[in-house]
Amino acid sequence: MDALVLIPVAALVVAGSLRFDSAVGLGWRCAGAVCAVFCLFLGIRAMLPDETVFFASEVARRVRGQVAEFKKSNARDFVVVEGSSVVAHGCDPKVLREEMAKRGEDAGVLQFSAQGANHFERAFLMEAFLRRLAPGERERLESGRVVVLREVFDAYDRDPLYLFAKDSYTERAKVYMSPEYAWAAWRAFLAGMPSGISEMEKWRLGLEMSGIVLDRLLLNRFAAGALSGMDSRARKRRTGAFFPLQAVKEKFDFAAAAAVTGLWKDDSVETDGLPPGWLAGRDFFHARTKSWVDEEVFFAMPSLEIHRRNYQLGFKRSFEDLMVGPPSREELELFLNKDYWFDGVHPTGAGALLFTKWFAEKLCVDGFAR
Amino acid sequence: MLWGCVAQLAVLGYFKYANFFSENLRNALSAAGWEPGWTTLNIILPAGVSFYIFQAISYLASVYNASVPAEQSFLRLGVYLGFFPHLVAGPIIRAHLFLPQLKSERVFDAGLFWEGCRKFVIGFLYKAVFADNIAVAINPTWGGLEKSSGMEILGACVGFYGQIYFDFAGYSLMAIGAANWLGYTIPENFCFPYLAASVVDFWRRWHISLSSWLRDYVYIPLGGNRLGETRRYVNLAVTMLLGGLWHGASWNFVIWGGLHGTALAVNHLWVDFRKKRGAGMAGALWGKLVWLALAWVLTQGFVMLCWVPFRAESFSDTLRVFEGLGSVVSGEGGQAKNFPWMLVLGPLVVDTFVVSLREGSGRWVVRKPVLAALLLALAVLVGILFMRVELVPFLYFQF
Repeated sequence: MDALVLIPVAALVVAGSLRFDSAVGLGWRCAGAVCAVFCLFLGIRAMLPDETVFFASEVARRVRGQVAEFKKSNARDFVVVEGSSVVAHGCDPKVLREEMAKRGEDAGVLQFSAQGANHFERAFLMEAFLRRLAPGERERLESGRVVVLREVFDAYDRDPLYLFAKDSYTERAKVYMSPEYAWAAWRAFLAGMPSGISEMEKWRLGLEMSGIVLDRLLLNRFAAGALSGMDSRARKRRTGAFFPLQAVKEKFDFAAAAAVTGLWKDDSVETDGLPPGWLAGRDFFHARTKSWVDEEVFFAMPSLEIHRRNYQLGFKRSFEDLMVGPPSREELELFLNKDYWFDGVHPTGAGALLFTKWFAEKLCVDGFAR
Repeated sequence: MLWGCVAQLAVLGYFKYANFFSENLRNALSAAGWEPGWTTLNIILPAGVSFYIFQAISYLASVYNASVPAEQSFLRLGVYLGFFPHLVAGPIIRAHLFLPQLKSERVFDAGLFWEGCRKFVIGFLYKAVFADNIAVAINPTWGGLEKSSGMEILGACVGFYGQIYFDFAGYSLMAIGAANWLGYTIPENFCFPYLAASVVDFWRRWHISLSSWLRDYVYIPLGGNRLGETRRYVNLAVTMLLGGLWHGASWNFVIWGGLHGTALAVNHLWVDFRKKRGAGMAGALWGKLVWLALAWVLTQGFVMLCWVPFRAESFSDTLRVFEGLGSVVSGEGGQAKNFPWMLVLGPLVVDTFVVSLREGSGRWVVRKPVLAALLLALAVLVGILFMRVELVPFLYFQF
């Protein structure tokens, strides 16, 4: 907490010094002056990148963390892992790099993951990362080979704005909701609307989400709360990409979840193709990252939930040669230990170590890290 | 009128206090060895019930005293009781001040509109910037008193002293501002209460609409100061106890009201004592200033300590806070390394000692309309930049 607090204090003093005790002269000129101030503010705001404006946000801290990782690394080629909480809790980039190095693959590892992060937020993390690099660093990145490993997870693929409306993510959701992102996300949301619901329900959902997106867009444009921590030192803080979980989620019954895996029949999984919302989001992702990403590969982390695994298997049919995982039934046996699972999809710290090693091995064996 | 007031209070009593009294009665009977079979009711409290019941009583009293005629339009009466800007957390508006405004012809008043904007912006800065940022800073301490050092607890107390003022005064100003936009005027609810150098003065500046309501509808009907000195102090204590209970069905609020009632009685006793001794404000200027400073420190220290039971979740938490404060006094309070003292004290000091002077004087005031509008817009943008985006409910919504 520092002297930044004096700015709103000064605003309070100024507001306290104004008088509108006479109606004379309080016409359209005053309203015009207010509009001019707002327009000037929005104009200046449009020139500033979101991660600079929201410098204290979790997203900005994560971007700074990856920039620091990149600067530390001497690697020429990079593997970029992007994903949601499953990746943030389940893949340790340091272990991934070491395991790949053991197998002779000397690529650097960057990770863009966050709890509840949808595909748009992940694209934003990557784009902001590139913006934060100095010209020389950007050149170094673009001269090498960059493979992006994209997580396959049914919730975010089917609903491009999954968890977006949830309160706990409000603070974060506004950071990347610039007009381009808001427009793309809203279109992907409409495209990804479930087909089995009535037109009326589609309208209701569409209107509801439009309101939420518009709300976040306004918060983004007006930089609402960008300085709320009132701590200018926050502009230097950074966060890593990996957060190991401890213990077990309340009400999660590992024994019951593990028992049913024996009944799974991978061969009989039916697929209804790639979700339209995901396809719409994929085009946007490509457009935002094409300058530095050379290859796109998909991966699926182990899961104890049958509907998630079935989705991963169905997805794999579309990208057979470009996908790592999900683990086969035999491989899954290695993970069937209660100490490895926080819940049906998120591993504990111990599980993350095992998952990451498995992931590194698969990447090297399948040749994706090369 | 009496039966009308009884009916109103019965509604308030049912919604707000039925469980409180039944629970306490059950506990008392259990202690006496008898196990009553009843359980507490699952009552959903209507929004702003404490406020509009008080307004309804004010209406009944005003009609009874013939200060306003009985309202013939149910719609107008409904608007008076449920006027949305102040519905959930006041100010409590008197019938004779508001009902005539509903009957007068509506004419757009640009001066009132912009003054409403100014009030709203100040309220917005109070609530969304200062109160909410302070809340985020102190809530972890209030939520984990066992793990907090004495200095951290002191910080949390000072922080809440600021938070509750900025939160409640902010709501009131926004309500008044929104009413101004619509062409209505609502009386002020706060007048820099942390400038007060006596408890009596504090209650002339804090939640003015409630304190004047309690004075007019509880204290004076009880006899006020007309029935002798002893009765006057009893009346004060009873009024403040009821004022405390109005805030919520909890012993913490009763304690808070009781403390303020006692302090008011002591304050009046002291003034009377000084009058009898002939001690006035004569003497050297520095002596008066020292005296005033001492009185201010004593008053504001008392007010801050009284907020402890108001904020604490339970009586045991209240005791824990006082233990922590005791450790600071004895020099064993530890440290509060990362406590945001600047955030907590900066706005409070400037608001109390700078903004208050500006509000009261005509100097250093911007009256040029365009410049004033421009500065107001800048203040809004600063507020938006520094506001907390996540939802921090108004403290007085619970009442």
